[in-house]
Amino acid sequence: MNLNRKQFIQAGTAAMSLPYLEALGDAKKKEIPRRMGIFYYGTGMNMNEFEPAADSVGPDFKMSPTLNVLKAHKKDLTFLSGTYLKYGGGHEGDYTFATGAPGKTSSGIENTISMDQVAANQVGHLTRYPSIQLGERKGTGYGGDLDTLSWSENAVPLAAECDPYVIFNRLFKATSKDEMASQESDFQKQGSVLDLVYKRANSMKKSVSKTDSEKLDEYFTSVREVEKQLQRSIDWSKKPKPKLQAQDYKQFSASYKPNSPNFSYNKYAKMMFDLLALAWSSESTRVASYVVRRESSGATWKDLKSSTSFHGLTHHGNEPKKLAELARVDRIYMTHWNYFLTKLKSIKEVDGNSLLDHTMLAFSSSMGIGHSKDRLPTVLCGGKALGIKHQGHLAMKKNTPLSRLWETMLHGMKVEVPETFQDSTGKIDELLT
Amino acid sequence: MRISLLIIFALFGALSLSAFEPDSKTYKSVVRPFLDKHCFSCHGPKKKKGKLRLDTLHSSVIEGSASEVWIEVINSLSLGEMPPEDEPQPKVEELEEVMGWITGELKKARRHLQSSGGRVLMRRLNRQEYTRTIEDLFQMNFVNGQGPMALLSPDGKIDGFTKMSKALMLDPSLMSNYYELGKTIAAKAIQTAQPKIQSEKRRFEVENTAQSRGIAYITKRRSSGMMKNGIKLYAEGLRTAGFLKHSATKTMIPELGTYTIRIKAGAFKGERGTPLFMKLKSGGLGDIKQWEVTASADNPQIYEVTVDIAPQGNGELQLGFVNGTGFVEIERVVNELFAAVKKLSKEGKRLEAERARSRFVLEGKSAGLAQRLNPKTYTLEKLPYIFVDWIEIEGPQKGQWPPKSMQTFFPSGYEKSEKDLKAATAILKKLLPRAFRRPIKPGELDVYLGLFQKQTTAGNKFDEALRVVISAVLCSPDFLYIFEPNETGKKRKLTSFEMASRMSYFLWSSMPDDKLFMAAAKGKLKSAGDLDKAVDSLLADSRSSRFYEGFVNEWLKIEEFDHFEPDKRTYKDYFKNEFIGIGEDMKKEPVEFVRELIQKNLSMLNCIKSDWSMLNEKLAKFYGIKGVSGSEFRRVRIPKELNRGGFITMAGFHKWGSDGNRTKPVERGKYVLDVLFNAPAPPPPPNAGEIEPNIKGKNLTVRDRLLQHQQIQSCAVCHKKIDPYGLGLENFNVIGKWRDLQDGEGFRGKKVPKVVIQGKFPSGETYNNFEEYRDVLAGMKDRFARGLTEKMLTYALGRTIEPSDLGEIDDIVELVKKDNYSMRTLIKAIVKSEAFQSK
Repeated sequence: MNLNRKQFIQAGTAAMSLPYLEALGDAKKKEIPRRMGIFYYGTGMNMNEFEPAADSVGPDFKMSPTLNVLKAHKKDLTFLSGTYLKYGGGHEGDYTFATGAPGKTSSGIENTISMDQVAANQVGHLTRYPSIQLGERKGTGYGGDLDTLSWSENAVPLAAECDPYVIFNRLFKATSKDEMASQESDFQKQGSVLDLVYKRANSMKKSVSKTDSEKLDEYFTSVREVEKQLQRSIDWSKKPKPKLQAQDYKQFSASYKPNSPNFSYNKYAKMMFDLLALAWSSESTRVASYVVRRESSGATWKDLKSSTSFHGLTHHGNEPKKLAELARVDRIYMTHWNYFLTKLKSIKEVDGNSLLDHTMLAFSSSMGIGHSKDRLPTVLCGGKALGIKHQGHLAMKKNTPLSRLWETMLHGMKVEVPETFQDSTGKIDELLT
Repeated sequence: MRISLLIIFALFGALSLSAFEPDSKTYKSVVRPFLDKHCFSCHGPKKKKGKLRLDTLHSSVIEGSASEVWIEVINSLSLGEMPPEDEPQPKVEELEEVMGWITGELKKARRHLQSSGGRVLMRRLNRQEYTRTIEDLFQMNFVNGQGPMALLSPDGKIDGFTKMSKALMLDPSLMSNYYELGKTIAAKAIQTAQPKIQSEKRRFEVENTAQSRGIAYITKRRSSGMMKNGIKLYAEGLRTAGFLKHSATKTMIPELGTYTIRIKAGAFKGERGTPLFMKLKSGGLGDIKQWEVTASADNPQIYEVTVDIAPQGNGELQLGFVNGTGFVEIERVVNELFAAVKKLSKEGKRLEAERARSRFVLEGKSAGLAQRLNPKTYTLEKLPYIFVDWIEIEGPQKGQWPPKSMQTFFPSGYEKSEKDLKAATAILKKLLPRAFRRPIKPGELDVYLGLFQKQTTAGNKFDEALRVVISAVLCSPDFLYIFEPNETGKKRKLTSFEMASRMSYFLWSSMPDDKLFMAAAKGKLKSAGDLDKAVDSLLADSRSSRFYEGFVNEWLKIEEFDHFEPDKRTYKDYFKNEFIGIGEDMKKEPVEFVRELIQKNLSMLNCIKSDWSMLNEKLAKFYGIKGVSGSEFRRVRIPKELNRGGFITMAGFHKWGSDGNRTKPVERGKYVLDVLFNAPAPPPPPNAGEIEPNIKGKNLTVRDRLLQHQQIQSCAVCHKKIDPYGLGLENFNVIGKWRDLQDGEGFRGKKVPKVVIQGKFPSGETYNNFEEYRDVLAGMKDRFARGLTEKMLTYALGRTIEPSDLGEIDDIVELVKKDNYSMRTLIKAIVKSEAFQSK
């Protein structure tokens, strides 16, 4: 058995471990946290109305009809034309989106760590949660259309949550006095259970066949990670959860997710984005990924008044009526994004800049238009205080890997980037001051 | 490069299991000469256009990053991008051979990558299995929205199944969920005090409507006729206001639970004579259920629904008359008031307008009336109405007290039982072997007792310590995984207990019951006769429903039937009141069909062609079959002229193979190939796109446009193999209704073309109508039997089929064939196969 692990667990109930808190204190003194989020709108968009004209580039470019929804934030965004996913196109682009690996191909699923986890692995220890994963459905969706963008180092997909209520409780539900009293005993119980099951798995090791050992390793890794999270909870338990305003508690007072009765997507989208704003501003986490629209799905919500599913719309067959409707739905999604940017801009940091200035947000898709792997709707927003220099419309060379944007963002996070990073050919210098 | 490294890593483990054997013979005789002739001049030693060199490309596709390059090659060929237009073009036959080789090799490589060396791997329980195991282990049930199905995420898939070891991964958040669930389940299993909230039946007598101020207005509407014992609804509906409060919370829904709602109602069809529908809604829940009210108004019946509702569903119940008379009450005084308000607002006299508006209330009228006069409303006698006597709600269902788990653990009652280490020992001795599905090993009990003692020493009470131990049991790998030890790595026969688990997880998606455990303990799961008997007994049990729901759903991709919603304007039938909810019935038809095949020991060939199906009233009506009444499914004989019977005639499948506006013959063809024959078509090249829409004036059918596409040689290579399987189904439209004329996609008026059914299968058979098409498929008996065997074996073993299985599959198919293609025999043959019985 791993000695460090044992000490780690025993240390748990004894006292708050200092390095974490010190690190936290330091972070406060020195610098406003750097945050980032990546966002996925599956199945592409109507790029004819999304892309600005090829010759209209630079900060004063003429906004396209769809981008124009974001006109209030023109100075805080860059549309990168020319991006593509080497292994994208078709409906498997969600696998390669944040990893740059072949993902799902006809020869199986092969993936690697996603870009958000590269960041989370380096800054995650500074917050209550290393990263959060949001999606339209909970789980991973492994094997089918994905519900998450995040993959661990071992290429295990990290499950996303779709109910803002669940995440809100995890992040903000205050510990009641009763809970406080039983908390220590709860930690101790969980520690003992994890300790026991770890030992049980260890005792299996002797009799496990070579091919099965991979599965057992998965179990070990997961138990160890849960132990780490437990340790984190212990460290943070004495520190009250961030206090929010009454309206926030009210907004997230009940479960609300797709297929909830009387579901409104417009309301849901706002809740999810509000939640992210809260998570970042309360310093609950710094890294987020969000499958805003699952591959091959979306737009079936009543209040979007779409004649068919988003996937149905993308099978427009160049029919003008359908293309127009696709663009209309794209713009609805963009109004939510606009709401998000406005919200982040309204939250001030101590240096006078906004939360948006201290957060990098990027969205794109698995495909452009007509299931293509190029002409992606790639937009970077915010992050001005992190050294992002917005370019309005930045025309990149045809087939510029999306991973170049990821590398740029990791640079903005001031985290170490592996020497060969995905299929990137280097960060995008134009976007950095 | 990082990616090729990844592939090599992935292979490293696999290589030791089975060697990858590339078909180098074909490479040498066909592929290389082809490349030499068409490619090397640009992608060879002299030129390396696009940095691509094919002469040095490894013929074994798994070497380094060779697979990526081969994918690029096949994509360029199938898109017709290569060779370039100005170069000599290859013949179709050449292309076919070369592309066939590449596809085949890539497929082989995929199998190799996913290879388990032909061995069943350790795997965790999937969500369904976890839930069912808990239910059976503790004899407990979960309400929708609570318990494992709600808390756990859907599982990953390989080859469409959620039983596959390699897709059933465990990430930290899942582990953390397992712990939380363990706590919840332990708390539910060990309950020492009766819950505070108990079930209550509450009834609202509709004649009391006037007693509640909030809904008293209903009694004054002309559309509702209040009676001494109820209400006649001519339109709109009624509400329950605060009449259904539970005494514990003074709300209707005191907690998440199962509630039964009953409505006593009848209908008078009036002059119109068409079926009448009522819909139950709740403020917080939305639609709950819609019924056709078949009882007469003078002999009302009880309409009942049982649903799981959370407190968010609080508020009130609303019962609406779906297709009531669209009349509104307009009286002269109302008209005058309207005119006055309108005039005043127009003149900008807002205050006066408001005052005039308030007179509506004084007159006892609603201000939201339209200005339309309906002469029919002057006499109500001929109008249809729904009579409602009362509405009641009962719940939350509490089941028995004490719960079964408590009865099992404390047979003489909790109060009277000792609460010490000895008692804990007795409980664990009962629990552990069941939870781990095998006899406990020496020392194992002590581990858990140690935890129990640690808990009591820490000051926890007996019941709490017990809960902690139970949550540890439920988090342990012995519970979460189906684990069959194998130190040496050599193939070995399963123990009887392991065999019991394999069988129960195959057919019940759950742990064995005591009977099966007993059979295992007595060594009664060895001979062929024993196993046959055990299968029969598992299938006779109601838990076998989980096999139908598990296997059939995933095999036939039933969850995807809802992928596209039919266009509301074009396919109005689908949205008719009488067909509300038919989408769900369409999903049940194939499941019930397979259940019937197995329970009645029928031939699997019925799946392709049969003269019966499993239908209920709604679906029968939809297909045009009369004389079926009630919502339950039963076997119905189908008149020959209707062309129904078998999967390929089921509406759910046709809906799947359509995009809501038009049929998708290519997708349907792919489905037939994959689902019925387990011979999935190769994936389309990237950027393949969609076939062009029907351009106005041209009136080209999907078929026409597809045939145009086939004119392109490189496309034809694949499409010739796929399309014939789908084009024979063009008589079934987007919602699975029969059509002789083209519909959807703007086909309207006199110029609508006829549906043409004509095709030639790759094997040479031709067809000129649907019947002929179906007969050709029905003739492919062994191909179907083989496909189904492979699918079911995959499901049973939780791993992909490998070349080493082929011999055994041959044997199974042979056996099944001899027994008149019996589906039950197939299940038995799988259980008796060597692959199933060994680790």
